[in-house]
Amino acid sequence: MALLKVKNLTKKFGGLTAVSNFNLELNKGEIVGLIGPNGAGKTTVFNLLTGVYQPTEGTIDLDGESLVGLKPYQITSKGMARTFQNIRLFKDLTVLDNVRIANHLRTKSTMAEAILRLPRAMKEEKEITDKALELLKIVKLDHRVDEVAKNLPYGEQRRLEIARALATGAKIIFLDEPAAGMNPQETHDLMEFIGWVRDKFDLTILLIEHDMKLVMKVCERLLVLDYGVVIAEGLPDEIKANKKVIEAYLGEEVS
Amino acid sequence: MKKLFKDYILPIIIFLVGYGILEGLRQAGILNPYYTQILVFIGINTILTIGLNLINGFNGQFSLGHAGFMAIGAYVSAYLTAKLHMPSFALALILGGLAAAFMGVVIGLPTLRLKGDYLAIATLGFGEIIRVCILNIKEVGAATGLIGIPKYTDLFNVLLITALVIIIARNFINSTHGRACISIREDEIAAEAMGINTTKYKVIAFAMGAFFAGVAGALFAHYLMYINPSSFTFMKSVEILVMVTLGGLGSITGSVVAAILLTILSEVLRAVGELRMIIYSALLIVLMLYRPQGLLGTNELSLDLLKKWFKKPNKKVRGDQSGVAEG
Repeated sequence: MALLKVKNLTKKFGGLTAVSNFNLELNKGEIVGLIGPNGAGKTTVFNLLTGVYQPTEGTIDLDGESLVGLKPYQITSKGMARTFQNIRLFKDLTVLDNVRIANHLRTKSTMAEAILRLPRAMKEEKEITDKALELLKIVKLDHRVDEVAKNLPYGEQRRLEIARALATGAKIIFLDEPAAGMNPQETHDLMEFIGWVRDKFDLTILLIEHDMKLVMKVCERLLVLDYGVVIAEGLPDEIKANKKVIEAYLGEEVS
Repeated sequence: MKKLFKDYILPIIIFLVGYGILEGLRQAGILNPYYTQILVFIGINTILTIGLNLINGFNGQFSLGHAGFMAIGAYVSAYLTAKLHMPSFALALILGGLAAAFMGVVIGLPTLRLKGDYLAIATLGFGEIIRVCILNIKEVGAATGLIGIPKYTDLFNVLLITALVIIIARNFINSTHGRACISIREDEIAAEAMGINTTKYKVIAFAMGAFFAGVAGALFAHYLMYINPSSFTFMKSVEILVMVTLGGLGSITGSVVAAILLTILSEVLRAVGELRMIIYSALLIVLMLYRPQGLLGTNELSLDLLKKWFKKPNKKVRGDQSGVAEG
């Protein structure tokens, strides 16, 4: 059974149909790519899946449980987290705090306990810190623990954003153009990182990307969106050869 | 055991020693009633500033209605002690604070959807509504003010409550709940995507700030023994806002420092009469030009920071999150 099942997802903004009849099944452990020209509705799909927008029609089921109508923070607590097209870190906070904040939804101690510094709250604080440090070590950002997030090089900011999404305890991660603005070397590193993280944390990943080299190499399956409609779906090689996709997005090779 | 000492016993020792010194000075006649009064106002202003800093500085919501919450605390507690003759000042203080916090929730739930300037204007409107309402309630003296409030506030309880407020704010800010508030200031969309219930934490910060303002108002009322609505105008909100900004949005230590400096400064400038406001404003302009982030920015003065400076001047050490703002 699919981990995430999206059926007939439709979003209308007034007279404009941004996404229409979008279907998606994510199986556990998959890396699936969502591609398409600018304005095709890819980010809208992400916003629908993560609760930023409410769908006009359609269903979103995670493990058989409906996510429609939930707020973003509730969806995150169900085990789906995301990154943003234009990096949205907590810029003026340290790398450690960025990750610790993502741990918040797994905490149980009350505010009164925290203010009185009762043992349970203090123990939990220490656990949060330890867990965050461990995660940062895994993603090789442990040398930056005390650095303010905005001072990190671009590639590391992207990695931190992914680490932060991981810290929420998510099973499914949505990456919105993770390679945007990266140089070829950074893109290459990121490509390896995504695959590695998936194996390490047993994740399922859906990613939006324009860098075709990355998409074709990392993704096991692709969906192509154009004007809010899925025009093709399949393995990377099939997509590369698909006439409709070439016409709408990839473009003819110059001969 | 070490934690117990640091979190509970050390603050008590520091407080008792500090108060002992002040009491000694008073017995010796060095700390005359005028200086004592300035100290009391420093305490009250510190509580107000920290309360507003929780909302404006740590949570990033721009509130301009702090005097309104202060008024609620002042009037509710004063009504309890002066008219209903409630004997317990502590209870009156807490009820004053809770009344303000309750209004904070009532006002916060609808208005915290607004952002930036819009929220500022909504809260400004709220502050004025409170003042105008009080102005028309005969039961609390309307424009004449409320008289006959017992003098319950003294140096000891003001300093005690100020210390408690500092500790509560510090412990809150350094907990996962406090970080949730700060993340909203940093990036609300990202905070929500990372699992933070943003509405809840905005209302919590707002209510907590309002609670502190209510307590400060109650202390204020029971010190002057008389209150009237003109003490809680928009200008009072601005005064508190100036202290928050001067000290640094997002610094508890900054709030304390700014409350001390500006309270003393406005007393010193009393001597030059009309020129006072001009000098005061000019100083602020200079400060904002050269240090727009406020005196302390978002930094805190803490024992750990001091250790860091003295012990390892070159090596960066991660400050233990438990020791912030001991000042």
